Amino acid sequence: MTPSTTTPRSFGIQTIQTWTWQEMHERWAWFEELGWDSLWLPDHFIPTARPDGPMFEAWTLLAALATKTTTARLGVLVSSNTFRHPALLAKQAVTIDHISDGRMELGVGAGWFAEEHEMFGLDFPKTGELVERYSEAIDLLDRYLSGDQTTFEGEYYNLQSAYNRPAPVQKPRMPLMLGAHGPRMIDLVSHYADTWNSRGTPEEMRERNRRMDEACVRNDRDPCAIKRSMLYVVAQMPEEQPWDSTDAFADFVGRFSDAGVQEFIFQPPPADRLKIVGQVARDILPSLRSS
Amino acid sequence: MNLDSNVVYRQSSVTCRNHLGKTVDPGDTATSCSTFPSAHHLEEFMVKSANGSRLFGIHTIQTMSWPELMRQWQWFEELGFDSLWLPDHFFPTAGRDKPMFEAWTALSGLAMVTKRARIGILVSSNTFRQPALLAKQAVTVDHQSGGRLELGIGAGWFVEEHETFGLDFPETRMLVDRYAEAVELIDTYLRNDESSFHGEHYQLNGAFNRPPPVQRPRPPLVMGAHGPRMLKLVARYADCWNSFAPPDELRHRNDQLTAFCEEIGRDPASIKRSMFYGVRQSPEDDPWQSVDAFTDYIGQYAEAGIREFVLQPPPPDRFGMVERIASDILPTLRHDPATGRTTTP
Repeated sequence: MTPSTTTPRSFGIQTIQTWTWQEMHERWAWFEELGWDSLWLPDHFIPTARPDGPMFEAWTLLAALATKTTTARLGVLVSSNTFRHPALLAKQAVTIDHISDGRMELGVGAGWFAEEHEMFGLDFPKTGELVERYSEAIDLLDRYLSGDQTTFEGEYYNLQSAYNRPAPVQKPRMPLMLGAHGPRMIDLVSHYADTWNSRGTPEEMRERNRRMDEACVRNDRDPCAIKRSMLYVVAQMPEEQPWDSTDAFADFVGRFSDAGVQEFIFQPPPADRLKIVGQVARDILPSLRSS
Repeated sequence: MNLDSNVVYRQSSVTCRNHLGKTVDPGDTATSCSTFPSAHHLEEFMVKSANGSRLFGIHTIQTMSWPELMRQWQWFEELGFDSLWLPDHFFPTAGRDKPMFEAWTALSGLAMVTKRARIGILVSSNTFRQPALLAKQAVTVDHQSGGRLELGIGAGWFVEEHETFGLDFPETRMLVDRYAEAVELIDTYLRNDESSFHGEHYQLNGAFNRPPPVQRPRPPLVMGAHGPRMLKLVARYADCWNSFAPPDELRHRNDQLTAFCEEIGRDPASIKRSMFYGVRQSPEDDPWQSVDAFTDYIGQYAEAGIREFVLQPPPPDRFGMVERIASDILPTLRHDPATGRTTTP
């Protein structure tokens, strides 16, 4: 049985926090009311498409947006491990899990956007260390958030009988949403992920899904226990136009579903075309969810 | 914008300029900019702090449930307190097994359930976050709160939480070195559109401050400091200085700060003098015993030159006294006989 036949499809929106605060919270409330299942922010100091553009800090913004929504799942897709100590990240995640009454998804990635690290004086280690740090961080997060008191002896991060109080609302902890594209990262996140997120062509996603299945077998994880999620990034997938029409959207979802994707997270179209986000949600999401 | 939804969806009427000075449409995602929703909050505050009337704040520890924390903040705001604060720790100083929310995400959520009060972290530990990240967080909360943020920063001090959570805690000289750099970086970054900063510990290379904070030139810097080296930093950068000690000792520090201001040619009156009452820090004091005790307590510190009083409340079973003090004597205590001025919230 493949995972895609056991998990219902879900649909989310990722907005980039270049909008004003008023636009952010009004649009999030609107997306939620339309029935989108999850709402996400990226984690950057500057927009990746435009380094001189405006950008709010992801986690403080998410905490406020949690109070402006009531049903949607919420998260940072994905939080850069290079920006915050994982213990601080864990505490932030628990706090927003309480603010949102259990709607928090904890998205974590290794970090990749070298330019922002250079601009803001943040350490950006070479790939080997970057992945080692990420590996330790997600191990620490998994243990700390699932337990009441944790000791962790890593090369980069340590905990000495650290209490996890208050515990998260979600038990044993909020889902871990881990971003990974390459074989090494996919193998790594297969140990810890509740949801795995990537992006690419249908062929790439099919291939990575296969790698994830193999990694699960190798690492004693049930392949069905990891939700397969993808992010549609406008700038990185110019050949795909899911927002052209409801038909285009359904076609997009169909092709990526065939590649094993279960959760679809979309960056919305430009503000002057937001209407299609409402049409898609009302007209075809209900049938796409169940088909 | 044509959005056929039931949600009230207001197009911002504010005209913005992008970094090239061109007028841009706030609804354009590619060139979005910040609006300035409630500059009046800042004006009201500036009037208050400049005219010498006394200010009263409440400092709650985020150990209670989220609904209870929200309820308390709303209640303290309704009672008329001027500012509301959280500490920044991984666990309460009362015990490592006690619950504690993360300060900045909690503050961000609490900004959403308050309307008027100034809000802040008293004080944010510089050892927990890169100053650039702290600056970005501060700008974000400043927007969300409509310009109500007070940016409190301290060097960090609570060794046990650093050991428990594997956070670097340098020896004192390094701790203060880093703090000095962090404050200079944050001050520079928040005042400018684009900054470079080449410190020993922290750097910026043409870093954009976009959107800029709502408050201009930046949110007030509240610096927690007790000793001479820290007080010299306060003289250089702070809009508000916060400390705690018995009245005589606080008067001494206050005089030191004034002297340090004069040494560098800064008007000493441009720094608000603020004190903190914490149950752990001052176990022998209990300003909440009675209306008279509260009045005496404020009077002692007022004589030592203090203008702002940030107080931890008593346990909830004694909140009746907080309510009585807020309604019966805060309006009078706000009036500072030294200046003959008073304000009401």
